[in-house]
This record gives sequence, structure tokens and C-alpha cells, in this order.
Amino acid sequence: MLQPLAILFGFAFTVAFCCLLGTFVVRYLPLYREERWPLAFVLGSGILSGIIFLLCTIYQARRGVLLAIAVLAAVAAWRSGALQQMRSGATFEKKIPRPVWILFLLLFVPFSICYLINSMAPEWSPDGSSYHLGWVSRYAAARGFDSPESSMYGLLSQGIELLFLNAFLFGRHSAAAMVHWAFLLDLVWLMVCFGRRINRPVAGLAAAMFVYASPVVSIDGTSAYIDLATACIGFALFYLLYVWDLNRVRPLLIAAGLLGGFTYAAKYTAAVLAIWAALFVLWKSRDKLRDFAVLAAMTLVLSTPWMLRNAVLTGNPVAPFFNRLFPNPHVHILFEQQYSEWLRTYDVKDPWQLPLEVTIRGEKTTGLLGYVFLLAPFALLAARRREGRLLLGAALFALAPFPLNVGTRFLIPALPFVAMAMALVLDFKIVLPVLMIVHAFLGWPNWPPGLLAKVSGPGVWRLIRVPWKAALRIEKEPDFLRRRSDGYRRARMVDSVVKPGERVLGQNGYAEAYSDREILVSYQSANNEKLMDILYTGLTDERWPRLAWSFKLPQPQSIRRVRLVQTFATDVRDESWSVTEVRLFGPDGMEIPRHPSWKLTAKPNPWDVQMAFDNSPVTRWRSWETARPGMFIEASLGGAGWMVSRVEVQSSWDSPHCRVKLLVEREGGGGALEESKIEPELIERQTPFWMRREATRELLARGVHYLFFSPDEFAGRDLYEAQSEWGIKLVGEESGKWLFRIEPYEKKERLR
Amino acid sequence: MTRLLSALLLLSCTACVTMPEVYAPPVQRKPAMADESPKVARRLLRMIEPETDAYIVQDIPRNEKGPWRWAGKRPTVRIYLTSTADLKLFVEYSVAEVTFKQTGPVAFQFFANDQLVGQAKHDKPGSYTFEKLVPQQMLKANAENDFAVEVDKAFVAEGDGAKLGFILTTIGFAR
Repeated sequence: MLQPLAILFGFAFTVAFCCLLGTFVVRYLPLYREERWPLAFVLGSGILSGIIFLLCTIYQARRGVLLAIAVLAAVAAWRSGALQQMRSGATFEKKIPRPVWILFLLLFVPFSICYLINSMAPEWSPDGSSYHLGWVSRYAAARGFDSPESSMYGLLSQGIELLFLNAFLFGRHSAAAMVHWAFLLDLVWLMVCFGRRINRPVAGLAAAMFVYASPVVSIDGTSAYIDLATACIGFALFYLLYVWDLNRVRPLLIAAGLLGGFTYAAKYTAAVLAIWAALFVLWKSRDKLRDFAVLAAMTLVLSTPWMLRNAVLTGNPVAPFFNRLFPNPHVHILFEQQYSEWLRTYDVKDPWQLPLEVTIRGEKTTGLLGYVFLLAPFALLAARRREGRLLLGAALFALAPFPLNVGTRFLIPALPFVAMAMALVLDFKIVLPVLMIVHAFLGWPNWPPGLLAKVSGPGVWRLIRVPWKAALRIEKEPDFLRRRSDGYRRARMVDSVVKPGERVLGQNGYAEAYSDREILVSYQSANNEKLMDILYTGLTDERWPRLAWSFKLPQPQSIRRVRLVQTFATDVRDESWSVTEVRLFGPDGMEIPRHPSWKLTAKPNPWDVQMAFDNSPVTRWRSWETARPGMFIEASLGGAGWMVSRVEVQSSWDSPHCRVKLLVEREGGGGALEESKIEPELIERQTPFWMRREATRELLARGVHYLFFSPDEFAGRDLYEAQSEWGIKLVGEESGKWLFRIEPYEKKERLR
Repeated sequence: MTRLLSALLLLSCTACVTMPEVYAPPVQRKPAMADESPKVARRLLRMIEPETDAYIVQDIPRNEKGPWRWAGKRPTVRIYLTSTADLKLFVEYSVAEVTFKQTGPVAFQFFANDQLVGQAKHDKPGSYTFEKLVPQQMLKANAENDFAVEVDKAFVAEGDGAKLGFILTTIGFAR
């Protein structure tokens, strides 16, 4: 019984805290009474997010501190009269027609009960239980920001996750999911208010229901995702600027600026609405410079902390994106390139299929908006009136990031604007009430039985059940999660085998929010990619150092600096330049041992240059971006120089087009590099067959203790079948995933 | 606001360092050299894999590249087995047209620890697979076991007199 209460407390406390903080701003805004609380919630959530950011920075994000701040805020709100002012002011003049209001409630209440139950049930959504709450869980344990080295998701702005943290500290995972549902409710409230403000209450109600009953909204909004929160913030920003355009009161600009910054803090892509806000103010303002400055300054309040954090941690203020502009050792350019290419298509071959995919199919783009959004083109007709044009303008900006990620939920930030514009156009006779009913029936997850299942594909991401027993914890949380979530079962298996502090390497993760072990998912950071590259080098001979480019100097020379420059421009976008080892040989034909005084660098990716000088056949320096002429690796050998007769560059077959030229700085050469003009001899080498064991040895040396693979993942089957070659042992198996322990390497070991 | 941002910047800096771009050579790894290389436990030997060399006893050339190798009259491999239950002797091999012209039909015998497991006879050139359960008593658990394929007639090259048996692709055990 205590757990449901804790969940409800975590949720209610967070919502109340947000509302309380919002009252300090809303009191200065010329709003109708009905608009005050929904806007107070959004504004307050931004402020609370900023406060928790500061607490995380000083590792004081804990229950006692947050409760104390909430109490102080409550006292201050009461004493300053901010709370009392929420009840003052005028109400909307235009009333909602009673029959439509009743219809709305008849649809809204069952959906809300369904959503309440689903959000309160144990959280098992893919992203929610992996990284959104995975990071929240880590922050809760650390009482502040944990190092984001192992995952790029930790580098994204996490303004909403910090609100989840507030709820998580009291009610754990479900409380966080409920906070996201609160944003959905708030969005609905704001849309209804907007309809009333523009004297189109039926359109407001219908648009709100179009959003609320959309299948992708229903599952996203009841999970620990951030899309509905982002949509809510974006719509609130639009709302405030709409009101500002009517009243021209500066506090509205201050509040809008705050929300503009919060869009960035919530989700990078939502920051396009902050840009829209800036352009809107520049367009509409009579005192453009001053108003723009106010808006921009306030936008920086909530956005700058995230930029500063990333700039300090990685050197890239907008990490994990724009790595070409801000090269850094945390995210590879090649990864960003490949990942964004996939996100642009989701394997939808024909872009003309996208409208049907996101509205009624939803299998490839994970989620569907619902049939009613097939009418979205009608929204364009809303341009005939002023509100319609403003809505369409905002929708255009909110849609701008969609081509970069064509997942259905990336349409959610634009959904309120599109739905409202659609409703304005279709607002005649009984069209909107009929559409509300049809949309609600087609979007309802459980009744009439299987209706949503019939109109959508079998694998679509959507709500399926109303698990009230699990929500009330009559069915225990672990039992529910074990029944429903592969990720949870895998997390439990990993936790039972892996000791705290030991690290696991895999191509995919599990429900990390339910595990306190560290999994290094290969694509999530540059370091993880390097570790996986080492593992793959153990397996695939195209990564083995089988190619040796040997530069024989005409005679032994005293060399102070050696630079190896890549000369070929490849058309293969995924082909990076890689160098396993650079070796220098003396006049006696023996390799010159690397001296601690040498200085090594490379361009690009100087941070991995040591991997080309570590004498390991399974580690290598890679450019981690498409190979191009001018890339180089350099070794400065010190003042006196070393007698060198040959330079050898070991490479592999997966950089087949790359060619190298040698530049040297001779002793007495005045510090200048000269091109050697030596044509290298290519020698193909046999590589020892124990590369698998060599790879796991290296991983162990780099702090990886376990491998987490499934049979269908690359190398998975080989790991299972050749455990002795790898020097690993199967120690766990769960839901199609294997967990292998890397055994310590013993010299002269004889593997069986 | 300026104070707040300054404080934030200072606090953020407390745990972070800028990454350098010039490095000294790292600690040198000592990869397993030939004398200490682990002998991997394999049950199925593919001729394309260089590690197969470690298991050859006779009549299969070492240091060869490519998916197959010319075997002699009685190619033999030695494999360590931890268990002996339900193991099938599995051999993929071919009778080449060029040898067949000289030898005519050929007969093969398959041995485990010098005990006959099975036989095959081929009247035409082509690729063949031999797969048969090996009686458990023929094998030794936790010990090395010898496996051989013997062809009754070898091809003798006219030029250098080299003796070629057949083309071997895979030999070993499958479950």
C-alpha cells in the first residue's frame, strides 16, 4: 500500500512544486483566471528544473533539500500574495457550449483514467526504462550529475529528466512517468483555454481531444518520455507570445523568454520554437531591439547552463551533435553521420509513404497519430484568419526538425498547432463533435475490444491494456515487469551476476533504470565504440593489421619528427583511415623502442593517437570520420633526433583506399617537414590466430569485465561458439541475451 | 544573473579538465608471442582459418590461404575433446576432376583414433560431405584425439612427382 502512496506523493509534490514556483511569475501576467494555473505549471517547471540543475551541480539533489525549498517557496508564495492572486482576475467571457463540454468530458474522463493507470503502472517503456530514467536513477544515487562519459544520452539537455528526478526521489519510476502525464494534461488545458481565448471554444476542445486521444500521445504521454512535456512548453510559449501580441506587457516577454530557454533545456530540437519566438518578437515588436534583448536574455537563463555543462565536459556546447564543428573525444563524427542518416529514414524507403506511416501504420516510425490526422492538410486553410496563420507559422518551426528524425513522436511538438489549426477549419455544425467521437473510439486502447489493434499493425508502439492491479501494486512491481519487459529481466540477470564496479560491454542495453551496474552500449559514446572496435578486431580479419606500408629511407638519417599523411579522397562515406601501429626502425634493422619523451599527435582525433603506438595488434587509431587527404599522425622524437632507417605503418583491409605519404623533419632541418618522396613497399602480413584472446585481454585491461550479446548481433554467435578462443565464459542467459565473463589472462594459458 | 552564471561556470569547472592533444607513448602492450600463444580449443577445423595449422598432424599443408587445401593420402588432425557424447565426425571434401582422370573411382575411410568410423566411395568428381556419429568408446574425454581420412589412391603429378589425395575443406566434429 505504501508504494502507490509514494508514487502519488512524488507526482503530486512535483506538480505542486512547479505550480507554486510558477505563481511567482504568473502574478505579473495579464491572464484570465482559467489560464493561470496551466501556465503557472509550465513556467514553474522551468524554474524547478533550473533549481535542480544547480543542486545537481553541487551534488545536493536530495529529498530533504527539495522539500525545504518547496516549503520556503510555499511560505513566500503565501506571504507575497502570489497564491491569492491566482484566484483573482477576469474569467473568459465566451462559455463552452454545454453539449460539447459534456461530450468532451465523456471522452476525456475515461481516457484520463486509462492514462492515470498506465502512467502509475511500473514504467517499462523502451527509452523511459533505459536512458531517460536510467540517468535519473544515476543522478538520484549520486545526488547530482554523474559522468556522461559512457553515454551520449547523458550529454543531451535533460531539463525534463530533472523534474523526473524530483518525483523519482519520492516515488521512483512511476512517479516520474506521471509527471510526464501531468504535462499532457496541462497541454490539453492550455489548448482548451486557447480555444476560448480566440472565441472558438469548440475548436479548442476538439483540438485538445485530437491530441489527447492520439495513440502515440497516449503511450508517450504516460511513459517517462519527454515529448509531451516539450510540446506543452512549446505551446505555452506560443500562448504567451500570442497574449503579448495583444497586450504588449513586458513580463509576458520575460515569461516567454524563460520558456524559450526551457524548450532547449527540455529537448534540443524543440529549441526551434525559441527561434520562432525571437523572430515573432522581432516581427511584431514596436521596440524591436529592447524586446528582443529581453526575450533573448531570458532564453539564456535556462539554456545556457546546459551549454556550459557540455562545453566544460566535452568541449562541445551542443554535444552530442555538431561534432564536426566542435570536435571532441566523446562522440565520433562518423557515428553522428551514420546515426543521423538512419534517423532520417527509419528504413522507410519511399518518403511519400511517411504520411500514412505516421498517421495510421506506425510500425516503422514507432507510433501512429491516428486517422483524424489524415485531415491535417485542411489545416492549411486556417491561414485565412490571423490565429490560423500564427498557428501554422509555429507548426512550421515545430516541424522543422522532423526531417532529421522521422519517428512519429518527433511530430508531437507540432501536434497542438496542427490540431488547433485543423479544428479551426473544421469548426462548423457537428463535424468536430463527430470527429472527436470517431478519433476517441479509434484511439482507445482497450475497448471496443481490439479496435485500435485492428486499425494498426501488430507491432505498433501503443497502449494495449489498463493494468490497474499493477498500478495499485496489487500485482507486485517486479512480477509485472518480469512478465512484460525483456529489458527488466535482463537487468535483473546482469545485477545478479556482475559485481558493483564491474563493467559490461554490449551492442544494446537493457532497462538500465532498474540496474546499478554500468553497461557500455557500443554506439552511445566514442569510448564504447573504441571498445567494440577492439572486440571486433578479434573476430574479423579485415580489421587485423595485415597491411604494412614500409618506407625505407635511402640511408639512416637523424630524424626529429615523423608525419604520416593520408593522401586519398575516398567516395565511401563510412571508410575512415585507421593505423594499428607506427613503427620506426634503426640502422641495425631493429625497432626503436618508443621513448617517453616522444610527443604524439594526430589530426583529426588526437585523443586516440596512443593506440597507434601501444604495440597492440587489436587497438588502432582511427580518424572516426570519412578519410580525406591531409589527415595525419605525427611523432616528435625530441631535440637530438633518432637514427631512423625505416618507418612502417601497419593498417588493415577496412581502409582499403587509404594511402600514406611520409614527411620527416631532419636534424638541422630548421624545424621544417620535408616530403620524403619514398614510394612505400606494401607487405601483407599473416596475423596470429589468437586475436580473439588478444582482444578480450585488451578489453579487460580497459576495465571491461563482461560481454552482453544476443545470437543475432554481430559477433554474438561466435562468442558463444568459441568461448575458449575468446577466453570468456557464459555466466548468464536471459530473454535471448548472453552474458559472458572475460577470464583473466594467464601467460602460457592453454585454453580448453 | 551574471553572478549566477559565473557561479555555475565555476562549479562546473571543479570536476573537469581540458583534453590534451599531444601525448607521450603509452605503456607498451605485450601481445602473446608464438611461444606463449594460447592453443585454442576447436572441434571443427576449416582450412580457410590460419589457426587450423596448430592441429595438423600430417598430410595437410600449413600456411596456406584460401578455403581449401590439397590433402595427401592420409590427412590427420589432433583435437582436444572435453566430452565425447553425441559427436559426429564431419568432413567436407572434394574429388578433383584432374585427379579423378588419373585415379578413377576412389574410396575413403574415416578414422577416429585409428578406429574405422565409416567409408565412402565416389565414382565421379565433385564435392562431398561425410557426417556420422562417432561411437563414444572410440573417443577419449579430456584428451587429444586423432582423426584421419584415408583415400585409397593418390594422384601423382607428372612433373614433380608430388602425391595429392583430395581437396579438404573442413574436418572435425559437430554435434
